[in-house]
Amino acid sequence: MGLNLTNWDNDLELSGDEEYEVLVRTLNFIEGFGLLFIRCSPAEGERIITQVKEDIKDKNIEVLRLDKSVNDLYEIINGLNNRENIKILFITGLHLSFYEYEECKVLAGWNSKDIYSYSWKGVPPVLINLNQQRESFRDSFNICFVFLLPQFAIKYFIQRAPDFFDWRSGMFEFSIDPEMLKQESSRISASGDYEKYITLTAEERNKQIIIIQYLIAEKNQTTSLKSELLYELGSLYYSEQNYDRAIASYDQALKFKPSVS
Amino acid sequence: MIMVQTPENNTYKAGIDKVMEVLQKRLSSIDASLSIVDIFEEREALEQLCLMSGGHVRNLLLLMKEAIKYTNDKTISNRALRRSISELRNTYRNTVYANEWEPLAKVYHSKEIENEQLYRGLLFNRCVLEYRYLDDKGDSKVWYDIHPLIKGIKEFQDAYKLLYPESTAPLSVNS
Repeated sequence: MGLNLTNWDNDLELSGDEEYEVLVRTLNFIEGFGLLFIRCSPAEGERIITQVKEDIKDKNIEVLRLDKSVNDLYEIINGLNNRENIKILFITGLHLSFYEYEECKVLAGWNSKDIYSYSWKGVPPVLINLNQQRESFRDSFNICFVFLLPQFAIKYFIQRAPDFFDWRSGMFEFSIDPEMLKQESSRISASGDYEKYITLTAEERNKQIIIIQYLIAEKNQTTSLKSELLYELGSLYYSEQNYDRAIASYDQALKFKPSVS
Repeated sequence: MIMVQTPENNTYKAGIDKVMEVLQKRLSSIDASLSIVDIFEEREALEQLCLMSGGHVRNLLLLMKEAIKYTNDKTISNRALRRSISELRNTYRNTVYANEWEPLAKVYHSKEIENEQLYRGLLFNRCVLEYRYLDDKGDSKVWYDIHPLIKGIKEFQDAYKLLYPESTAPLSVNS
């Protein structure tokens, strides 16, 4: 039985400008409660927020920038001073609540055999709360929420707050600019240092692992940089004595660039 | 799920018609004078939407909602629908773990699931869908398939080609 693929099985991607246009149209269109997700890098996210504030003048737009791990987003929003007047609320940095959880690495990774053995105790409380408070969000807030998140965090939402995610009115994707991708990847590869990795805390290491996985997964990534990033990933795993994953990463690195040393 | 395809991967017209009826009912609740066929650029696109939903009504309405999001006028273009399909496909891409592509390929090939936690998980998150029909003797038959959006994902295609190279080899000119 063949796959018999047709054109409808091929993905269609829009340019960043087109995707942005649709975002603005959607934001203009939504009255009252709404949930939007934007996949983007933090830098791209800030650019989008600035631009939307320019382009939508007749709605009160606020930004909630989370700079540390939180447990209960509902309470934070409920406590905002001018909550009654907010029409659009951008939320950045929610993924900072995920880094301390071991599971986030597994979710972000390209291999995950042991996921079913994870219990819900290992899930960030903020996601469990969101999943359970879906109705409260809708009933209490007359706000269109826009979550700006990196790829791994979107994946975390899909897996661990599926009911909340299911209520979305839209998902938007903005790929990282190829030049920036190259710069960022080269910087990480050049500054990689095993001696430094072993001094990191578990949370810092998770964060670094996720950033590297994110860069590896970007579709514009070159095989040569992919290989160098996989090598760094291997060293990070090695520094936390996760030898299986370390070896798997080194193997992958070799696959992409047999000459890597 | 509403059965939109047969276990032989052929379109099941009665099912497609039923799914279209769902869409028509939803549309009529907004404006009774509108026909669902007319708001799509082509009838084939509407049929594809029904197929790509897997007969799963929540997915169907989500696809429809997304397609409208990408639409600026009264007609839903093929491009808007294709983009909306891509977007939901991305959600499925993010739902499947690396070790699950191979089991999904097996389900597509056999139209059966194995009695294992992994397959139950795939059924639970709707990557695998369950269909039923009555056979000639009036007995209820159950079969399974992957969500149709998954077919377009490269990781799935790679796993399938690796497991069943004979069925995916290009036809030679002389055969």
